[in-house]
Amino acid sequence: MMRLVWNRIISRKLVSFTIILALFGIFLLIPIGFQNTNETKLAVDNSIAEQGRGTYDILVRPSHSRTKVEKEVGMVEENYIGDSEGGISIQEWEKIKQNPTIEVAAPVASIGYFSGKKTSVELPQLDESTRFTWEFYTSDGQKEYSLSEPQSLVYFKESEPGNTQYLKVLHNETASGATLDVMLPQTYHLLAAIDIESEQKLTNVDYSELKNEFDSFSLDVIIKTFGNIPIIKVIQREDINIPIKMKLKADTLTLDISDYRKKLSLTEKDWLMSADRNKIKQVIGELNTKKPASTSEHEIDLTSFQKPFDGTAVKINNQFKVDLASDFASDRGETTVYYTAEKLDYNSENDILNIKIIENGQPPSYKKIVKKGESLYNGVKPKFLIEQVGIFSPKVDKESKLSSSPLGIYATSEIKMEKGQVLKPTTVPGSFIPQPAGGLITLESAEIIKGSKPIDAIRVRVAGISKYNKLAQQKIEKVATKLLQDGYEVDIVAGSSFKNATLEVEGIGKVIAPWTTLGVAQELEESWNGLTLLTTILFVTFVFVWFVSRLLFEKGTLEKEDELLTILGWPRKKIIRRNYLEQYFLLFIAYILSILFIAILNLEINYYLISSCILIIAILMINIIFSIKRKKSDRVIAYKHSPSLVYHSRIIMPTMLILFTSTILLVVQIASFGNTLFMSQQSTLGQFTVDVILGFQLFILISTFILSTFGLTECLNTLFYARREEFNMYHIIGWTKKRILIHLSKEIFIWTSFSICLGLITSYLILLKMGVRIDWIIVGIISSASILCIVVGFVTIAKNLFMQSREN
Amino acid sequence: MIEIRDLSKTYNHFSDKVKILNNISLSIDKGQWCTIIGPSGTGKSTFLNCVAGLLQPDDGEIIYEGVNIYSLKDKVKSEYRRFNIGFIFQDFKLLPHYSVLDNVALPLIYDEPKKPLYTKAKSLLEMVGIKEQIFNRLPEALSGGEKQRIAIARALIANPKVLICDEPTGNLDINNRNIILDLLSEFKNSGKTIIMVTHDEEVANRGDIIYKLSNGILEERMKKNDAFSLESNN
Ligand SMILES: Nc1ncnc2c1ncn2[C@@H]1O[C@H](COP(=O)(O)OP(=O)(O)O)[C@@H](O)[C@H]1O
Ligand SMILES: [Mg+2]
Repeated sequence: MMRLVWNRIISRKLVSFTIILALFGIFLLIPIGFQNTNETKLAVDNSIAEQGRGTYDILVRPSHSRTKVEKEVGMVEENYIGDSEGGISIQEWEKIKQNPTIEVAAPVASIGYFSGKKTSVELPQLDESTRFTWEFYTSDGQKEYSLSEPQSLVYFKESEPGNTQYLKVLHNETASGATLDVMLPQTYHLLAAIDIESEQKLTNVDYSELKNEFDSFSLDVIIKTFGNIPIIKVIQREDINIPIKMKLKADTLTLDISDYRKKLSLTEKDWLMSADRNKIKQVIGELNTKKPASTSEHEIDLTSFQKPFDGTAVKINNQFKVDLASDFASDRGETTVYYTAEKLDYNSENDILNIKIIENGQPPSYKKIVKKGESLYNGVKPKFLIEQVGIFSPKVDKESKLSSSPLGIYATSEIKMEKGQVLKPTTVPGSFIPQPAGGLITLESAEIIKGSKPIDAIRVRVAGISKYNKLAQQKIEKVATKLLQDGYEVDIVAGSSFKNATLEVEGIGKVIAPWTTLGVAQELEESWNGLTLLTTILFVTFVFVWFVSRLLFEKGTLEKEDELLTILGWPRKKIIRRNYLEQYFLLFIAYILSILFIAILNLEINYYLISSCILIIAILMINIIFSIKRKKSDRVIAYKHSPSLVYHSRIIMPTMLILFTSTILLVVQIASFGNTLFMSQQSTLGQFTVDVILGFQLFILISTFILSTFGLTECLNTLFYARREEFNMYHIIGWTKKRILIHLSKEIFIWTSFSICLGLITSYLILLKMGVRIDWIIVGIISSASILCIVVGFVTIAKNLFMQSREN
Repeated sequence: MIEIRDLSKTYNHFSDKVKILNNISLSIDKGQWCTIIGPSGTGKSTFLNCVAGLLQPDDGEIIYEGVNIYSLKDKVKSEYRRFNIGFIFQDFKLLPHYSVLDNVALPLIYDEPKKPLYTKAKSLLEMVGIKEQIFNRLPEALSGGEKQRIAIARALIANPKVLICDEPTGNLDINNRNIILDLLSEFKNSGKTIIMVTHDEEVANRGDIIYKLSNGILEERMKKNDAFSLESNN
């Protein structure tokens, strides 16, 4: 018996060999398909890391801190740390920091929107009595917003040095006899907390000025009034200016100071501002209605003098130009008032993120804002006081590592309108442009303001990585896993990249903002995993169909031989045993080969398991298919349409299925290949990953191509073999070679094009669902369709010529 | 009509060469029914295939109406066969997936408009005694006699000058055998040439002239019960 089986295998050398080869491929490729998710993930991460390790490796956030929009679009806006609620305590951070495998763990906490002390703008003392009216404006680059009500001040030409005569309504401020001071309006800036040492290690920026002592003399009055309150030291960012303009109108009035002294019940020597406040108000009201002799209007840009937490006092000279002031006033009254905001609520719709106005105002607010703290003028003892003690200056330019790392508080990239106008964050807490931190404080200070769990994020750099190899990657993953187990939200940030996001901002219009991906790796990996899963499923389907069809074909051939054996007097049992035995034999040879290979490649135990599972499934399939008794068709009437298609449906149907799955496999492979390529090139760092993916994806693509070609060829071979008599017949009745070819090709064209088209449509839908770009889908469809048509065409023609040459 | 000159064919049987046809020369007149008899395996089919232009001989010429068929290009040879030679085989060689009618029309479906072709096919089927009810049937569902009649109808579709029959009655019972032979006689009487191969003496006797093929050589043989008529034919 064994010899008989062996003889049959040997006598069909080529067939047996290809079957063993294909089975061997299946035993090896399917386990690899199932396993390669992990492998590729490593590869993808690796390549990014090799090319551009960011300033840190892992971003740790409190659990559930990933925003809706981040989950949806896989990106974060710049300065995404702002408006976070905290969630990690200093103790927790210190615990993380103590891990010896962590080199740097730099915490960051957003505190809120604070205002520094206000400084004064000194008005000029002209030759004539003048009524000054002014208003402060800020701008977001597109629109101007008024920062204060118009105010006025009337200056009397009778002033003397040190005894300036003027009248104005006071708001929480003191009047000076020396200068005509007006106070700048309040602007609000994001304050964030850091740890000096670790932040310095992370960014190479000097934050040591946070250790400066504050000038206790200037705070004397406050300390005397309120007792010993905590004073929070702030260093302000050097390179941020606040867009502020002063619109100043100067009306020359003809006034007699003595008239007004009378009205204010003052004596000749008295300073006008020493009068009763109500009376001043009344007189100013009167003065404001007075017709000016002449008028001049001025727009004075104070932007370059204004820093977030400490402006420079200025003086407007007689030519209405700005000079630095030598004598000035400052006001800390509002520094204890601050705002916190909720995260912007982005609503994504067709790739556009919509932002709605939450509160109308000048400028409107796009976030929910909560006012906190009390003005010092209210006489309530404040919880703390902020005081600017120094500066820090991150070197932010596009090339630097800092800008390419999503540190979350430093970015100052340009946000543009669709037409290219540059927009700036406004100096209110509700700005839709996430502000960079205008000032930094220490974590200890943050606790005072924000409470016991102030930290929003910790940026972790893993220790002991000098060269980025697999080992380094494993180290990072180990740390990340540990942090994940500790309950944090963890991202492996192997370099990040800018990617433009389109925002539709209510009241502004379409805005293009440079958002960042926290890690290209994650994104690529996700699409990659989806692809691998799909490929594996398709591949398994393909293999299943192929295996079933070749068993069916085999069964067909065997049936003829079986008849013969029955005639020769073989018992049915023996015949069936012979049939099974041969299939088992081929299967086992392939299985043993694959096991050998797995051993040689030193693969994991899983490969053996999956391979063995496939063997068991294959044995089951052989048993099922060979035991099913085929009913002979008892059809008498010929089919009207495509009679040969129906007649040979046992061969054509599996071929169509194979063609269908191959089409999907090819289209999906090509399209997602292109898509990955494109997506990677979209982000700055992505292109580095392409090399690695390219290799692997190309391997899959080529395997797919070979397998589908192989499967198709076998099917067509079987079909032509079954019809060899037909060829002979056509030849005898005098058909030319060309005619035979056309006749058969036409028929083959009908069902092959049908299954290819069906496959194309199916893969189109799958890819659309996967979010693959339409142009890549089209590329995939066109190239796969042409590849398959060429394969089918080639096999058909070659086979045809071969069959015909046998007839001659 | 057909001139066969010095036809030789050798097959390689493993290492030894077997000369199946050895310098056979023969001429067949128009309207003659020529039968070749010989036991199975003597090379009758080989001879027919060579004569039909299907199998290139090692040596010799086959001349139809003055043209050596093996000097023709492949395409022209096929065309000549299509329009001038009809074939009938022992195993019918009908295409299993086409209906009876399609099988008959098949040789010319690319040459003639469908309607007249099918009308012709139908009348041929009726001529050979196939009822209209089975025109749409698959050949598999028919008896051997019916299949051979259909094969004859197919062989006649192009109105050929020559009919080549390779043991046309080999798979048939006596009744059907006679029907088929009668049909061939009718065909011959319309002035066509028939070359038929058989191992059956009685069948061979229906021909005008009988040759016996043995050891690669063809020799003329007298008809068994009709020596006189053979004489007069000469
Ligand atoms: N293509 C071939 N190659 C080798 N030997 C062949 C081939 N075709 C036929 N033969 C051999 O030639 C001999 C004659 O065959 P054939 O012409 O079919 O005989 P017949 O039709 O008289 O029964 C047989 O012995 C057969 O085995
Ligand atoms: Mg024969």
